[in-house]
Amino acid sequence: MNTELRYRVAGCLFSLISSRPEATRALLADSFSPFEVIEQPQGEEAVFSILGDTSLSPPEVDLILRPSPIAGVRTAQHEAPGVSWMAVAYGMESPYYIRRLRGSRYVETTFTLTDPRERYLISKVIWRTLIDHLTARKVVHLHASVVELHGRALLLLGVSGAGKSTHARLWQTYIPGATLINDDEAFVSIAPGAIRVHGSPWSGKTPCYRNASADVVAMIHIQQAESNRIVTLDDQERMAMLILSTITPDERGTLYPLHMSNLFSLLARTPIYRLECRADEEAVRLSKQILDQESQR
Amino acid sequence: MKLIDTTFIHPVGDKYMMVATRRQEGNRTESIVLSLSATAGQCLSRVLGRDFERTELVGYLLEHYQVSPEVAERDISELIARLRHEGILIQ
Repeated sequence: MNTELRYRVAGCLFSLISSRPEATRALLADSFSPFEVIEQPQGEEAVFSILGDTSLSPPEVDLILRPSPIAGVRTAQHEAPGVSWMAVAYGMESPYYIRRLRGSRYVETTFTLTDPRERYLISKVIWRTLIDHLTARKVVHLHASVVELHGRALLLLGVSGAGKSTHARLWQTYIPGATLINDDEAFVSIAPGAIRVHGSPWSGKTPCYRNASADVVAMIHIQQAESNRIVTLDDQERMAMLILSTITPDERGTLYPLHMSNLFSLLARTPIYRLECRADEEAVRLSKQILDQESQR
Repeated sequence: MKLIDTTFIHPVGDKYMMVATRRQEGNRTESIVLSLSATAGQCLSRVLGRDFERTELVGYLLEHYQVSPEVAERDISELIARLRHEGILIQ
């Protein structure tokens, strides 16, 4: 008998349907447990449900696996009318297949959902599927470290190695009460009354899987420098920063215009600064100044 | 000529922002972000997703702004050259 394990991230309810739920729960490990929904939500169905162990045959088209941004993982995607295919594989190993039929909430896969070796790939398939669904709900995935103080959040953006995680760690050292909501895998929801950031079961250098959210006050592009200073960005620089911090959907697909519309909404409503900085207390005081100033607007 | 299909133009403050994504070698994509004056933004918004001629853009400027034909010709030529340089304009 199959059991549905439900999780909610950034307001989106999704599930995994497994014949061995304890093994599947263990596979997803501690990072997913804060997001598990134990009680059956009244009148609410999962937006998507991952099915394992399906007798899915590979598609008739050739899915050519290519190196992906995920180290050591090859992926392929194919869109056809009414159906999308994905294949994922570790290195040169045989791929797992994933099929999504348009209009169906079920995501059929060849994963067992119980083999510990599948953990990383399953997690990435959920991540990818969730980003797609959230795009249509005006939620943007951002590679940002998120620090929070009294319910207000700063999103730290920047290229890999820029010092986002370090700056976030220094916040927790020098600002009493500051907490980390997520490191590098945050979701930002754009609602008429509020822009909010949400934690997720994924994280960057600093493991942080908190089911927490906060009001977004500002974003700061972190850039290493010899001295500390805040730089005001023009609109072109701000938009470029947002694009660099997100995963752009396939530009030929239906999600691309929704994604761009979401970014323009964020651009219009969220201040973005650049902090040229060292990894020290003074830099933290400067970014705290931004939080304080923008909170009063 | 035509703007590439992935082009978006959106008002931001008193200007317009143009974003376009194009596919590069190795199946990688690159997004281009341009800041446009309100005049250029309004002008190009009219021709998104379809073929157009430069005379149409010049005509729009002459009709909606108090500019001489020489200035309109020059401004549109500069705009088209910029879009071609960025790879946003095809043909």
